Amino acid sequence: MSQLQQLRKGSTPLLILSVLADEKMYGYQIMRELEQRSEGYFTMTAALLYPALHQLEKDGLLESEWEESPGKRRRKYYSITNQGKKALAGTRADWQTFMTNLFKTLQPAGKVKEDSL
Amino acid sequence: MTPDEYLRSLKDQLNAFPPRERAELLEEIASHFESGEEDPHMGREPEERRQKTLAEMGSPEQLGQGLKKVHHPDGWIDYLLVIGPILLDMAVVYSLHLADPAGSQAFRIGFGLACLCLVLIGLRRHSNLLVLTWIEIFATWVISLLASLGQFLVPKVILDPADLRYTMVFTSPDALQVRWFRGLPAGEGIFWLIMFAGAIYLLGWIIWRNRRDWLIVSYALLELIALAGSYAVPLLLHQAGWDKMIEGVKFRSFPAMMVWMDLPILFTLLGFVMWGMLFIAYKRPLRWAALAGYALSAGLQAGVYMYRPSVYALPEYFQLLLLPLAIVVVGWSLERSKKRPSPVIA
Repeated sequence: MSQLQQLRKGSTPLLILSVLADEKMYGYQIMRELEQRSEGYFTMTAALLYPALHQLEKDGLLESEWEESPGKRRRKYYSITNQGKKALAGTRADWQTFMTNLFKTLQPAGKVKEDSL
Repeated sequence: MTPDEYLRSLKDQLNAFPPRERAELLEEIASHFESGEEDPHMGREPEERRQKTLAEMGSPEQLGQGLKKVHHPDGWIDYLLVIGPILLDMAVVYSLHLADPAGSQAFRIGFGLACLCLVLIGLRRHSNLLVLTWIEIFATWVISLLASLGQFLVPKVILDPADLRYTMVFTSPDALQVRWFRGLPAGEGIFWLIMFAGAIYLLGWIIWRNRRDWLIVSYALLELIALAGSYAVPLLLHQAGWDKMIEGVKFRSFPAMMVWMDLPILFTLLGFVMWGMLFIAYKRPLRWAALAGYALSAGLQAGVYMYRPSVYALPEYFQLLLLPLAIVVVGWSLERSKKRPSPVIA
């Protein structure tokens, strides 16, 4: 697995929690929302999404409920818990710090000096 | 492949799950297919939408493996990986009473390494219970090894390595202990000590990683207490002068030992049954009940083995007996106070 793939896989819980931060969604809806928000960059197979959802639920960061809709199969909706919101806030801050420092480091040395002047 | 074929294949992958939970998992995936087939963004024709949805699924094997990794439904394998080696160990150890010293020494090293392998198997299987169980057995065994030699701040006591919890301190050193432990090279002692430190670190890491799962935390604390007890026993026996008192006691034959141990064996068997329920049961309340039963059997075992007026006063004895059960009750209360749905399987 390449480093980028590892990074993407590692960010799966964060992405799911972010998508569910404002409203409850079912699995398929989460996949589409993720794809839409990232303009197609983050695509996730169901084989990756559902175990991740179940793990987050097991960890107490998500909770789920089944909802019936007439003439259709019932759907399992996931929503973020208070514990999940706290975890999301913490992880967001960590990622922001990481990304900021990563970009600073990746810039050519001359560019950094120019920026700081 | 069609969605029906996909679901059939996934059903095969999930055959270790209880029927109701498997049905729920399949229903969730079936509703995923339905959503994809109804989504106009997936294509104009139903067949196009179906194929696109299928392409996004990943294989049923991948999905099944992922769900099994989270829910861990095949706890009976873990149970066999605990009970099987323990029974095998008991059989081999008792038969080694008649074996030559070199064979005993080889078995000693083999047992330690087998414990470490079972810890690794537990990690690979993502089974916290399996890992915790073998960490405790291994670490207790290391302490007993050091206690037999009085090394690394562990007071020397004479004990029977056939039992990992210092049960048969009455057995004669000539019969067992000398054969088992004599000739432990210094390097080997240090090796086991390093492995011991690694095991304790792993135990702490598992508690931290599962800090939201009170069932696992409670079980880990029980194992930690058993471990602390295994260090406390040589200390207490040493303080009470028992290590000097038992020198002259004669070795008991295996059948006589069994009669002497009938109560502890009964509690051990109760513990085995409770372990089984804890590892295999799917329902959370049943698993808590099993953990309480296991804690009670552990407390009773410790009580039967360790109650000696010269070592404990009666109130201390009852505390010892009830402490494991109290830990489970506290863990269970904390989980209930969280008021969130329990995981399908922890």
